[in-house]
Amino acid sequence: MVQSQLRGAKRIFFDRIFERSYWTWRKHPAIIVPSMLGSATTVIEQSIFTTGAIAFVSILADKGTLSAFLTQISSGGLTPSLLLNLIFNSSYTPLLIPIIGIAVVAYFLTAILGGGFVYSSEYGIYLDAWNNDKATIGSIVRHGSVRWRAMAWTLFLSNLITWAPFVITYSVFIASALNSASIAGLVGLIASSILLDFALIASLMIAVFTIYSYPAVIIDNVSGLRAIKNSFGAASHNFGATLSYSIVRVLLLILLAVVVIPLTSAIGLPLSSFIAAILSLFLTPVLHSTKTMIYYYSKPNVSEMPFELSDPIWQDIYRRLPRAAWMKIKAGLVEMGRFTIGPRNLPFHLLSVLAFGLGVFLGDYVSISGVKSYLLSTGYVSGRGNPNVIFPQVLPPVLGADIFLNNWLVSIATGLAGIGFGAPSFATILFNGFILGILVPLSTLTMLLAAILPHGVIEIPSLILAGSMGIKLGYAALRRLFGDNTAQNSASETLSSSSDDYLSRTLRQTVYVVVGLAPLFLIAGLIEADVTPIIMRMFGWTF
Amino acid sequence: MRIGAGVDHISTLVQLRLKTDVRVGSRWILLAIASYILWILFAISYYYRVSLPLLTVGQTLGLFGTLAFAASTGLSFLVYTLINRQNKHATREQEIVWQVLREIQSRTTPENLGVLLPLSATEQDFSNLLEQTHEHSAFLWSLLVLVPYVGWVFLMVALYLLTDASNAHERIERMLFEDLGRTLAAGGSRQPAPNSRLPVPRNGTSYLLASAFTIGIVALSWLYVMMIGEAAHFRYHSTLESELLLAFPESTAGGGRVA
Repeated sequence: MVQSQLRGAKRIFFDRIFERSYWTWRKHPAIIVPSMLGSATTVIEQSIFTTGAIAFVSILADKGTLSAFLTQISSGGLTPSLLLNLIFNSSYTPLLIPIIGIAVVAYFLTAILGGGFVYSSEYGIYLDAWNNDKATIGSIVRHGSVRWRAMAWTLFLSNLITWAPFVITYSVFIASALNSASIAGLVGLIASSILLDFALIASLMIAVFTIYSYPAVIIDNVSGLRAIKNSFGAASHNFGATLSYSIVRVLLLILLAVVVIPLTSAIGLPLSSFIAAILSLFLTPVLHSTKTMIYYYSKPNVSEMPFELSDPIWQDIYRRLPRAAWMKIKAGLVEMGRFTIGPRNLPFHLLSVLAFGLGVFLGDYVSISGVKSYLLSTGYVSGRGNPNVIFPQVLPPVLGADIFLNNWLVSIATGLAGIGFGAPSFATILFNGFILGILVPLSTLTMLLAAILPHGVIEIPSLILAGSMGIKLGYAALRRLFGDNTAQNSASETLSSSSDDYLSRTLRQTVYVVVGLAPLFLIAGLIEADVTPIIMRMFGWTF
Repeated sequence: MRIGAGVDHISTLVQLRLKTDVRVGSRWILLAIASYILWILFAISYYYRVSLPLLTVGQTLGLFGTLAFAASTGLSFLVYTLINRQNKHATREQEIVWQVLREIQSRTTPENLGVLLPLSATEQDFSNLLEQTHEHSAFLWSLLVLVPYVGWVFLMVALYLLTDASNAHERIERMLFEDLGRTLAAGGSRQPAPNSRLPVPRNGTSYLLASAFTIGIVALSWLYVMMIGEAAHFRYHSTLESELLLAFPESTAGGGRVA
């Protein structure tokens, strides 16, 4: 009997690929970086709206109409009809419409173009790590800058095709609900409400088949409809592995969000930040790598994944992983020290401090010009903390850990969001300063310092440092952008490769610096949860 | 491939038995029982609004729920280990037989019909083994088992699939090793001793029905049976694989006995 016949058809084993994805993740920690960049993209998107909001309230404060605006919002609750009324209110329309319009366009552009860069670097580095046993920050930049257009186009088309049934039906439902007084509206409402569930199921089913669109862009070097077509082919030929992947992915999210977080919150164990960290740094890269390799092994010209046995994952997670993580944090601390004292980084530090200072100034101005009077009118008493915020029913060390993880994830995203030419990092630091600035007029300076300083003395400089790193990354991205143009114009590869190299080195430095910030945020988080409330009470705060 | 490389590979695969044919500690069953009891307590507390002393109903639910989920992760790990063990055992066995068949083929001249005829039968058995061995995702089933309440249904289904696969594996493997033994004997090697004790196949359907009628209680004993029930099968493999290596005198490594 012929040997190949004896072995039968090629099979794809989900577990085998998943296990190897885990070990690839362990061996090449750089594959986490695109996932971190994904979180950074979310920060960029948020920063668009926060910048718009800061601009809006600052202008209202300047006009002296902020207090009236806030009263108007709080009087009727944030209902859709109130929001529509506000948008089309002649006092706010000239200001709101352009801000919302610009923000929405910028949001979608960022989501698609940023997603194009992030996904192409992400799926590219998985392939490098598996097939070449090599995953460097340089390859992230290379894949991102080479395939971002193709990926962005695929991302747009894939989401359009996947979610079109649901979005169209939902739009009809909303439009009908707004016109339910008419016969046509009522008929539309009934029909669309019946179809809504089917549309959602249809979208979810399409999502299962378009699951390999992004890996297809990298593996097959295609884009758009061709990538989606290849994804449909691979998913239907390997439906078992595809379904296993989809169920594992969805079930993990549901179990964590619907079961673990509510149950643990009820007994004072806030784990949402911990779970967010697990998802961002571990599960997303491992699952996406698994998906990529399922697609890779589904190719007819790729032979079946060979049988190999590795050590159990579980033992590695609790025996060796903590030590490996600590080694990275130590390396991060060293890099952070270098970055902080490096004289060439002074302009970035100054820009970050400027963003924070500007934010405090704007926040203070907005607070004096309307927010403070509005809060006092709602019954706020100066020097009284919100017991639900300061002293929620949680176990203190766990609260500290939760605060630490939340702040650390924010700083990671702030640093890496700088790849969007620095502006998102600047905006995020500005926003944090803005929030602090709003608090300044609400109590005496001594009380404010008692509430901020104990943990803020570590937390604020750490955040500013993350912002500074992000601004430097933005500078490197700008150099890459203009370096690339120069290279195209003059046909010189040198500038391009040197700016590529600078961007890679800066991205690597950013990753190490934000990782090195972890111990600082841990200390700050523990102080904030366990020490700051005591000091606040000592200085007259009541809860 | 250099001469003897295939035999070395067989030796390595035999040694990997210590990693694939693992013994599952019987204490893990306690977590499955705890999970069952705690989810019942959670349901009672929710339905009758009962709370523990010093705790509100919400906190009581949170406590029972968190403990139940923690215990369920132990059950989930148990299910993962059982399915993963079966997958890896089957895959390693396939690799060993595949390498042995290749080795025999490479050493047999086309005129040696005395070996080629039983070899052909063995290849047929091997083909059947591949065809009828279905790998189930240990990750998927361990996650499904984690879903509160519904997870018990998934546990029963997982155990049914596991039982079914185990029965099929035993049945086909027996024929395969008998033919393989005959092939080796025809080539002048020592024939590995066949399994003298025929295992009684477990009736998955009966277990499934009994588990459903007892709302999952029988599933706990079924789980225990699946945990400890493979020990005899692994012992047989330990002996058989060591004897199989003796058929290739140039092999350098001995087969370690199963733990």
